[in-house]
Amino acid sequence: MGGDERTQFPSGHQPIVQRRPGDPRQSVPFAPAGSPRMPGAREDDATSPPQSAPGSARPPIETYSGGAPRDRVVEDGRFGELFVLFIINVLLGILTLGIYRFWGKTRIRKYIWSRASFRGERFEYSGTGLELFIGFLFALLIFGPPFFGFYAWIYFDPPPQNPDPTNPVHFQRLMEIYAVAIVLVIVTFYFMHVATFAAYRYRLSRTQWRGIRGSVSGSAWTYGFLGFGLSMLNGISMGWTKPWADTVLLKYRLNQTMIGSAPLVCNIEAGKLYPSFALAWIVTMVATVVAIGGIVSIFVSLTDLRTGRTDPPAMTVLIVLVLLYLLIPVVWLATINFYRAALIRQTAATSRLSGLAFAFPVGGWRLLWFNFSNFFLVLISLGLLLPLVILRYARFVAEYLRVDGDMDYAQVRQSESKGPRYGEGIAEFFGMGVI
Amino acid sequence: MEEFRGYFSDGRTAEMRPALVRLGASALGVRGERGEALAEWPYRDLRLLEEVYAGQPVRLRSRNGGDARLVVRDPGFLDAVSRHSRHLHGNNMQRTRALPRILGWGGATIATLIALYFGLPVLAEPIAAVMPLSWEERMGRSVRGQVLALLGRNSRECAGPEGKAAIEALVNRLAATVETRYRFDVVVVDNGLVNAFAAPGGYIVVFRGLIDKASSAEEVAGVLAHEMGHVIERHGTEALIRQLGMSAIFGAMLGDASGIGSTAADIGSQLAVLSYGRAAEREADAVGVDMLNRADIRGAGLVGFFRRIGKETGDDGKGILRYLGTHPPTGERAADIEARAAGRGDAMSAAEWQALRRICAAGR
Repeated sequence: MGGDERTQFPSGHQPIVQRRPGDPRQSVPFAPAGSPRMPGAREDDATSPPQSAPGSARPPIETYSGGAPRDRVVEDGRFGELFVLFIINVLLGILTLGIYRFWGKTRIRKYIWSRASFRGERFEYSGTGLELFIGFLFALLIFGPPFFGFYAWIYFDPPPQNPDPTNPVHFQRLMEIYAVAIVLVIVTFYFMHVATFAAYRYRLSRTQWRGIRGSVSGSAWTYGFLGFGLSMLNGISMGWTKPWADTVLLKYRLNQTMIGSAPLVCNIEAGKLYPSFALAWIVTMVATVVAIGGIVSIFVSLTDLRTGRTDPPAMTVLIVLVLLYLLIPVVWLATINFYRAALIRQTAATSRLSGLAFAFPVGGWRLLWFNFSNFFLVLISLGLLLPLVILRYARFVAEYLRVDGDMDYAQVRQSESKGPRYGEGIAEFFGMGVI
Repeated sequence: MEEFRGYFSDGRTAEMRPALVRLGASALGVRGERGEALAEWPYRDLRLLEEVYAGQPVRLRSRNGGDARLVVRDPGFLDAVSRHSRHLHGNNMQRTRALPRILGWGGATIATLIALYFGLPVLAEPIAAVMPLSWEERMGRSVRGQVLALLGRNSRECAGPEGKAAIEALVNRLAATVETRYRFDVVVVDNGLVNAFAAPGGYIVVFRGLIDKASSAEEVAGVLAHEMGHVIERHGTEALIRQLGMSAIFGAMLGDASGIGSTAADIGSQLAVLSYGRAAEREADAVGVDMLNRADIRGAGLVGFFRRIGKETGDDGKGILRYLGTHPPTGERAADIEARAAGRGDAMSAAEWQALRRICAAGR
């Protein structure tokens, strides 16, 4: 990925809003989908071309030039400052039995958001710790009884030791436990998808830029069913529906996202994602064949064919066995980065926001290194370098995200929705997400 | 009157206009380029959008100002406005030093951890005292089940009917000497471990190894009385509450609320390998010796048993349920028991003792 290439935009892109006619979202550039005219909008809104077109009489007012590049997000967070925040969060978390973490999270987010700026204006995180805390209490109220009740049930009324499946009492007891456990697992998977959407909605609604906040319409319950059903489908198809499923979920989120009155439009299609996915899938399959072949041949070589006895493997052989076993997940986690990079590139390239177009020209190797180094940093520091990883994410976006086009700030109105009152409770309950 | 240049957004569109900020007597006034009034924010309503570090712009909103935002980049602005709005100082990080804050909170955290570590055990006793009997009994059954599960196949319950009758009679005889809410339930398990333990709520487990090693029924009676003493004094219940409390609190501190339930399930099995501590052992001794005295059973057997077992097995550190490991004998303890033991009679008849020694033989 050359330095020059990064600033290139996908070919054929028009930096202005004049796109395919007939798309109702685009006929009114700055109005939300489904409402041809916002209340209070000026008469000429729907008819006149966007004011932001290059060469128009009134250029958008940039509040701060300061040499800030127009095509990228600038990130100026400092590790030292964030590290102090992080350490104090850990200490206060211990002191308050973990309750402070909601306020701590908010503090970190406010720092990260405010240290990223676009076209001279910093982002703002307007959520509060109390909103996260109340969200968590609601989730605890709803999910606590079944989950903690299950533990209590097993604890106070333990299943039989040495269960005998032919004993009808034992059998019924085991079936009861399995049935409840399976229901809880299904509930967990479903609600993790619900939580993904709800957390996205909450964060968008608490993210402001130039005073304008984001909003997400649509239903988290629907998204939950969609996510749950598609992940089942991915299992049945051995992964081959994953690129398509990912675009479905992504579009459900992005195409219901608005920044103020400006709708985000994403037209990503799965077709271009399949080459990189096929690469990851096939390489992983080869690794699987190698690993299973290796493991089987080692066991055969250790087995005396006449007596059928297997010798215990020597230490070196044992290490080889473990490495072979680890080969499959490691290869999958490595190669999937090439697919992920393609997904990110395509998402950016096919997204439009008002007059803005995007590019995120990251390559597979770069993403692989980014994820591997982050994992390694957290691992060797026992989590202490988590703030560095957070900062690296922000810097990564700043390094790759490119934005082209103009936005007429006067035409982007504030979102009518204030967003959810409380946030991220379910995600917190199921332990999803660090920041 | 102080004046600063900034940018103002009314929060209705994304437009931000150049603005002039004036610090008035009771409010901050914002005017546009042509002098038009844009906002008048009382000082007490001012809020910073985030903590302001050195070199960062000052971004303000008003508590009642909706989405309107004011941005001022002048480095002197925050100090100037803070003179009117004192509450903004808390979010001013321009001159805050990190080290004193880290050391302060770190010290407070360590002090709290120490206080909790020593404070929690004190709370366990009153909590155990008010716990309903049915809870204690359920916990006890669970602990017994877990300890036996730990032993796997070597946890068969011995079923010799005469032997069972003999040991149950002995337990009932001892229990009759005290007023207690507990209904004792004793089982002998076919396992060579020289040990016995009491789970909360009156569930006593004696291993065959202990009966094999005992030279008389009075020695078994001594061990039983001691274990019953643990139940009556609620040592197991208190230990369980301490453990649960610790794991709940430290789990919450480390941010793993969901792990508490599963940790709770493991604690029972830990309980058996924990010693209750010297004070608890002496308490159980005292209650046990009182019971033996009132039932008129020779109490010196317990002392002899301790000493003989100590000599024979030594302490090789093996075996998770070694009696000496969980019941550390001391000279002091032995002397106390010897001094207080006043019983003269037998624990059971010779026929009963022989039946008890064969309790595991049936059904093998």
